This record gives sequence, structure tokens and C-alpha cells, in this order.
Amino acid sequence: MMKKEKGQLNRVLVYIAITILCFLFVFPIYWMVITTFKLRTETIIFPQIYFPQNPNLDSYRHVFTTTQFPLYFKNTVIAGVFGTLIGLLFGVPAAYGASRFNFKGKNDIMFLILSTRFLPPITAVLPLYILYRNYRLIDSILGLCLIYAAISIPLTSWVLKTYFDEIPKELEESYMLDGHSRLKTFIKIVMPLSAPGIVSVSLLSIVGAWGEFLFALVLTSTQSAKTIPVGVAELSGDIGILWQEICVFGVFALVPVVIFMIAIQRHLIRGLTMGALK
Amino acid sequence: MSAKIESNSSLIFRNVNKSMRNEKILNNINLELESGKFYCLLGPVGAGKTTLLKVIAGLEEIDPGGQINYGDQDFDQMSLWERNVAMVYQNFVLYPHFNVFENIASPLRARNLSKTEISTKVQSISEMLRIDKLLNKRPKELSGGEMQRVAIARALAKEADIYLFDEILVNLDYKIREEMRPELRKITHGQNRMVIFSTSDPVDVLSMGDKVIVMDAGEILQFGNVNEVYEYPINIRVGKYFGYPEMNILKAFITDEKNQIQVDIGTQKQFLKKATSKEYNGSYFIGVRPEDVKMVKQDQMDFVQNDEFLFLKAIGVVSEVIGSDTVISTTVEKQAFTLFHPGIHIVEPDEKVEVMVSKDELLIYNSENGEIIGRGI
Amino acid sequence: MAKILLKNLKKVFKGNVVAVNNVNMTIEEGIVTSILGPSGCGKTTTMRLIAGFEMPTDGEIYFDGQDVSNLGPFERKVGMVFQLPILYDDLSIQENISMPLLLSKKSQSEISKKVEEMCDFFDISTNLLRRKARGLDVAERQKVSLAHTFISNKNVYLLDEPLSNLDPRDRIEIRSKIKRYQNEAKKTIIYVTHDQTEAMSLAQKIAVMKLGVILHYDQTETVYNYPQNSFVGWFLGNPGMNFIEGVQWDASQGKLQAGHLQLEFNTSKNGGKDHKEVILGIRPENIEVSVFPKQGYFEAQSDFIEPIGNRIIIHLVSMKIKMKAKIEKIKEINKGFKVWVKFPPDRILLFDPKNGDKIFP
Repeated sequence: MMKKEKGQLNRVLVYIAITILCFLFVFPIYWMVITTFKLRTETIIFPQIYFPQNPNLDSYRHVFTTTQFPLYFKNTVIAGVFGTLIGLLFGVPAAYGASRFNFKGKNDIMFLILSTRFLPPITAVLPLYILYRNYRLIDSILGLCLIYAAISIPLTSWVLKTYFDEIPKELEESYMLDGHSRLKTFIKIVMPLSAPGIVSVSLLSIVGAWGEFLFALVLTSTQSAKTIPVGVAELSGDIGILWQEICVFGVFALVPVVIFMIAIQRHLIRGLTMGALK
Repeated sequence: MSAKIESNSSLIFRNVNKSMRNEKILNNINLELESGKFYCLLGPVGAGKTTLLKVIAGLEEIDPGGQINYGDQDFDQMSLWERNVAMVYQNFVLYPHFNVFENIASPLRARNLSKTEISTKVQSISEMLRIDKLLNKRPKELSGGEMQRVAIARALAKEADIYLFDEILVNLDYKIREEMRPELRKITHGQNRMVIFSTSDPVDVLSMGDKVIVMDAGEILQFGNVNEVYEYPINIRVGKYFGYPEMNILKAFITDEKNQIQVDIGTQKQFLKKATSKEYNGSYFIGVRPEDVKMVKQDQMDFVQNDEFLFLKAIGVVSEVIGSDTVISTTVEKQAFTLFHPGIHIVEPDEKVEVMVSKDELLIYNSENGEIIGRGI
Repeated sequence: MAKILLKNLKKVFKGNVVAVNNVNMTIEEGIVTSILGPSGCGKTTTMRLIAGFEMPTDGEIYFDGQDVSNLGPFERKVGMVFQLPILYDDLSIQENISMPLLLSKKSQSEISKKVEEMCDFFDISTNLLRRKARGLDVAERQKVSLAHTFISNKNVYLLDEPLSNLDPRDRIEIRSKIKRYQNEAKKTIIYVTHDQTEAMSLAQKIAVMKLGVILHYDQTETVYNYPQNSFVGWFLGNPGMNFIEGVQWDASQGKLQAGHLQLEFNTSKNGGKDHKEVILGIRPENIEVSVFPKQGYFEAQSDFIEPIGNRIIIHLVSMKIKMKAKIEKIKEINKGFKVWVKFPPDRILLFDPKNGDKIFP
């Protein structure tokens, strides 16, 4: 077989594989979205209806009138975003220190930080509940922020450390030699160049908090601090499983993440423009 | 904020050492450098040149017990953004997310100058380096030569007292290197600045430097005016590093014979007129610069008895014609021997030729430690 | 060995970047041909097209009359040496050098003999043969790369700036080893570089490229002494050719007017009869300089002096005309000194101000 033909066959096979994969990923989302437009009866009958006859917004109306969705949404956003920010507050300097300086026990400390991720969350839940109760953090957004910050710090510090490692030391040296302090160098040189890294870890952290269920469930008891995942769980109760409402929650949970991803996608793909160094 | 110091100060190194992982990168450096001079730091890769520059800039620390002073300031007490030193790197190191204007303006912003002052200064510096049309571009849009000029412009913007250039011509095309040498000289000339230019290329030193510091294995081998060091390299290593093509080294046996000196190189014996009061007895190394070697022309054959010249029988290996000059590689008594001939002359492989060097241009070295005994016999 | 023909070769990259623009060239067997030019001129791309690492956008490449467009680098039997030495760190030097012969039918002793031969040519000490490649300095590694590439028989050997990562001293040394090897082996070598001293030292023929186009392709001495374009004149030479613009050429009278200078020039053949504005070119080593006034010489001042070996490059200024001359070291000359200068008429070349092409001789 001539090289050219072989190449074409390969390409066709690859396209087929990609199409199948896309389908596997997109179909559940499609199903979720159309479920929100179905009548309740259409949801549970068999064989499934792939396209509703009379799409309506009943389920949306139901969610906004009978559930605390807007509150849960607000809580989830605040807990995710602020939790991530607090996580960055600690993770970024930790990553910078680990990347630029050498001190005794550095490797041990970094491993210790990473090891918190090895812990199965369920083992930490009870002690944390007791701790939180003592500090009156139960049922507070602050409590959730702190836990999400703690979860994101290992990831943030490790990933950002490797990003900082990629930034040549000479750029910082040069900037400091120009007369700027180390802090200014960090803000003007290191941060902008590691923006893709910072953005990716923030995203991972927010998305993680967005779907986090265990801690949110245990550490909140009243409506005031509950998040979307907890809210979804509430929807399967004595009456039965309210599929449409769950799907509406799902759609609203998904939409912000998708918009966010599209917006920052350019940053992620661009990567570092290290054209200044040959 | 960078401190402005009296611009007639000297940079003094006293007992400066630097060790890293049990290796001595800088070994007992003692130097005194003056403002207004262009110093070339010459040495092979790994000699410690970059470390020396970094220590001046404050990017590396020296071992305790040593001192670096500039004027009355102790550099040890100053962090690197306080020293009035600017550095240009081999691989340019431009800020990729700043455009050319911002790259050059960086040191000016650190001094908190006004917007107009910064703009004027950047404009004049970039005009001087002929990059004023590139101010809006990003580093990745520039060619190698342009990037280097931006890096130099940024260093000049600092208006520092000491400029450090770390092998900055290495990554540039041959032709651009050629153009940059006189330009660099002109830019730093007459502004009472101290320039320390590190390189492993002797041509840079010869064309730009006032004084040269020859380094190897962390030590300073020789320090002095470029011409003086070139004429009188105090040991074989200096002779080898400071020459293009490299200085030839011949093993010889030299003895005094009444009013003459007998020089034996392998099986070639000859007598030279004694001129100095030095006494010779034993084996030595003779250093001969390729450009000092002349081909013996047919009509000069009766010159052969002349005791003012060292005559050598050489066997051709290869000749390279470069424009209007020829680099002729030969062997003399199985030792490699190169001539730089200002003209076109091809010596075929295995062709026998006679060459000569004035005895005043020979450098005699001690065969044990490579230290110089004298220039000229 | 193979004779290589490049026909209407063109390579365009993404974003409409024309790296190689309609190149036509025949590369002779058994000699070193250098493709010389500044960064970005297309020399590396041309080489990669010949090797088979890139596909041409247009045009063909023939090895001994056979179209090789469908063949990959291995099938074209191309040997390559890159800027950075490429070796197997964990193998010994001996194994690295003999590797290309492993698949050949040669016996162990034949292979050993060849390895020794290569070591002799490229000055690799036989003590090093058993040592692992890792840990050698870059100059030694490059010598091993050269030995490895040249040990087997290929149609053509492509050397891509092999010396540019080395110390100046190592560069000269290895350059002369390559020259010595080629004198014996007479292989077909294409040497890509931006360093004109390397090109002139090693190559019998030079192709000077700029912006994807070959400006002049001929024997080295011809390209040096009679460059077909002012860029070629400037690019070759240490330093390159001097150029004076706005020179008035009165062909019928045999006179050149360069600013305030009236220069002698020969009319004899092909001069034409008209008045033209030209660019005057003359090489620094051909300019005659005297410390005393002489007949036919004009006055100039020395602006900057660059010592170079046992000669000096003296930067001269006469009114607004600047030039560099390469002369024997004269101790009396200093900056600001007055000297007398002559351009020997038979060393003057004239170029067209519009496109830099040579118009005389």
C-alpha cells in the first residue's frame, strides 16, 4: 500500500473513533437536557422517548417555585470560588517557595501536602464534623470554603510548582537586576507567565467544589448553606425520584461551567509564549 | 531603587572564592577594575566566567571570607536590586509578555521616573541601537540580532555603573557578530562606564577590549592590557586560549653553546644568536603564534643560515583557503603546527615545506609547569 | 555517491511563508557544496527537502536521475550530522561509530579497521573507544557523530551547522579534520552554515541564499572574487566587501565619481557608452593604504582600528565615505590618523543600485 493511501485510511479510522467517543460523552448530557423539557410521564415510560412531542417548561417552573435552587446555586458558587481563592492564597506561595528555594525538609513537606489527598474523605468526615461543631462552622459557607480550600491546596501547590519550574530563573533575575523587588517580580513576571497554570488549577478546584457531595452533606444541616449536590440528593425522597427536577439542577449546574470553559479555553490552549528565549 | 554611586569607583575583589558541591568554581580571585574601561573576560567553557559575572550582579553568593567592594560600598550587604549593575545574557532573556518598549522601559520604571522621561529615554536608546521601529513588537516576532539589541538597550536604560555581557555574541550569526563588535565598543565608549564582556572567542577580545582577564578552572591566569597579554602570555594556557588560530606548542631541547643557543626540535637542530642573558638547559615548550610563521620562499633559501630565525621543516596536512587568507595545517616532527598565511597558498597533504619564525617572536615556556620563561631567545 | 538535481524546488509553510522559492541547482558528486546564508534564508529547509524530512510544495528532487519524492530519508541513503551531536549515551564510542555497519555484511575485523580509520581521521583517541558516550564534552561528541555518519556509504552527506555549538578553538580544529577527511574520501557533502569562513574553507562550490532564493552558485573563488550580487559580496569575507553608493560611472571616459573622489577605472571592454549611477564595491584586503601621500591616492582618516592576527582592519572615513581596509599591522597608525588610500582599478566591482546585481565586470 502506498504511503499516501495508508495515511488516508488511518485518518478515517481515527475520525470514526473520535466520533464514537464524542457520542458517548455528549449523549448523557443531551438526555439530561431533553428530560427537562419532557412531561413527567414521558420521563419514566419505556421505550424511551428521544425527542419530546410537546416540549414545555413545567419542570423549570417547578424547580424555581418549590425548591431552594437559587439559594443552593448561590451557596455553591460562593463556596467554590472563595474556597479556590483561599486555596490559591496558600498554594501559590507554597509552589513558588518549593520551586525557587531549597531548604531543609523541602521534599518532606511537599510530600506531606500531597499526602492529604491520599486520605479517603470518608475517614476525615467524622473528625471534621466534630471539629467544625466546636468552632461553630457547621452550616456556614465559610466552613465549606475552608474545606474546599484545603482540598485544592495539594493540587494547586504541586501543579503550580511545575509551572514555576518551567519559567526560567533568568527572567526573574533579570527583572530584579532592573531594580524591582522580588515581590514585584513575582506579580509582574511570574504570575502572568504562569497564568495558564493558575487558571487550570482554579478551574479544576472550582469544578471539584461544584460537584462535591460528601463534605457538603455532612457539614451543612439547614438550607442556609446547602449546595447543589445536596439539593439534588434531596430531590429523591418519599414521593419518588423527581427526575426532571434533578435534570434541571443538572442543566443549571452544567451551564456556568461550560461558559467558563469556553471563555478561558484560549488561555489553556495558548500555553506559555516563551519566544523570548532562544 | 538602585543606588547611584560615585562614578569613578573601582570594583575590587579580595580573596573571592565560591564553592558548589565540593567543587571550587571561583578560586582566590583578587582583582581591581576601574570605571571607563572595557574588560574582556576570556576563558574556555566552564572556566567560571559566568559565575564571576553572577557574583558581581548578586545572582550568586560568594563564600565567607571574601569581599567585593564597589567604591565604598560592600556588595555583600546589598541585594541584587540595589546594586548598580546591569547584565545582558547569552540567550537574551527578554520578557515574553512585554513588548519591546516595555522591555526597555523596565529599569526606568523601577526608578519611578515620569511617563515622559521614560518615553524620551526609551526613544533615544532605541534609536542608538536602531530598533526604534520595533517598539511595539513582541520578542517572539524579532530576529536573533534584534533581540540582542533589545537586551542591550534594556541594560543601557538602567544607566548602571557596571555592565556585564555574558557571551552575548555566541547565539548570533557570523555576520551580525562582526557588525556588533564595533557597535558595542562605540556604545559604551566615553561614558565612564565599566564593561565586563565575557567570551571564549579571542577575536572579541582583540577587537573590543582595553584589558583582558584570562580565566581557567576558576582561577585568573593573567590580567593586563590586551596587547601586552597577547604579546606576553605568562603561561601556556593563556597562550592557547588567547589566539586564533590557537598558538602552536612545540617540544624542544634548548642548550647554551658559548655565544649561541642550540635548539633541537625532534631531529631538527639549529643554532640561534644569543640575545638575552637567560640561560637554557633542558627541555622546554616553545610557543609560536600561527600568524608569526612565514613560508620560506624559494628565493629566500639562502636565508636558511640566518641565526635570527627559527627554521622548521614541516609536512603539509591540509590547507584551507578563507577568502584571501590560508590556514595551513602541518606537522613538525609529528607535532601539530599551524600557519596563518596572508594570501592564497595551498600546501598539499604530505608536501614538504620550510617555514620560519623570527626568534624574537618565540615564547619559551617551562616544560614542567607551563610558566613563561621569556619572549624571544 | 550521487549527483543531485533540484528542479523548481519550492516550499511554503503555514501562513504563506515561502521558505524556499523556486530553487534550481545541480550538486556535483564528490565535492563539498556549501549552502550559505543568514538565519531564515531557507538553507536548512532546502537541506531538509533533500534529506526527505520535508515534502516540497512544488518541484522535484532527483538523485542520479531518479525522482526521490516518494522516498524517505533512509531510502534516499542520506547521512546527516546535526548541530547537536546525536549519540547513544549508554553505548560505547566504538559501538556508536560502528553502528551503521551492523547490518552490513562486513566481518568484525573489517568493522574494527574502519572504526580505527575514522578515529584517525577525526582525531578520536583509541583509549576512548571503550568509554560510554555519556560524559564526553560536546566537541568529542561531535567528532564521534561525524565518524558515525561517514563510516557508511551514503549517496550524500548533509551537515547542518555541525560546528556552531563549539568553542572557537574546537571549531577550527574539527573543521580541518573534516577538510582532511574530504581530501581523501571525496564524498558528496552538502554543508549548511551561516559562517562564511567555514564555507570557504571546506567547500569547492558555494550557493549563497537569501530569503529562499539562491543569489550566486559557483566555484568558491569565483563567488568570492566576482560576486553576482552585492549581498554576496558583503556576506563573504572577513570583513565583507565595502560598498559606496551614489557613484557616477562615465563608461566612455573610464572614470568613476564617488562623492568628492575621482577614481580611475578601466573602460576597455563591455563598459558601454553611457552615464550610470552605480554602487562601487571593493574588498578590504584589496584597498591600498599608505602612511605617506602618494600619486593617485586620496586622503582619509582612520576612525577605528581592529587588530586581527598579524594584520589590522582599519575603519576609514573620507568626507562622507566610509570603508574598511585590511592591511599589515603598522604600529604608527592610530585612531584619528591621516592616511592615503587607493582603490586599484582592477579590484573595483560595480553593482546595480536597484537590485544589487553585478554589472561590471
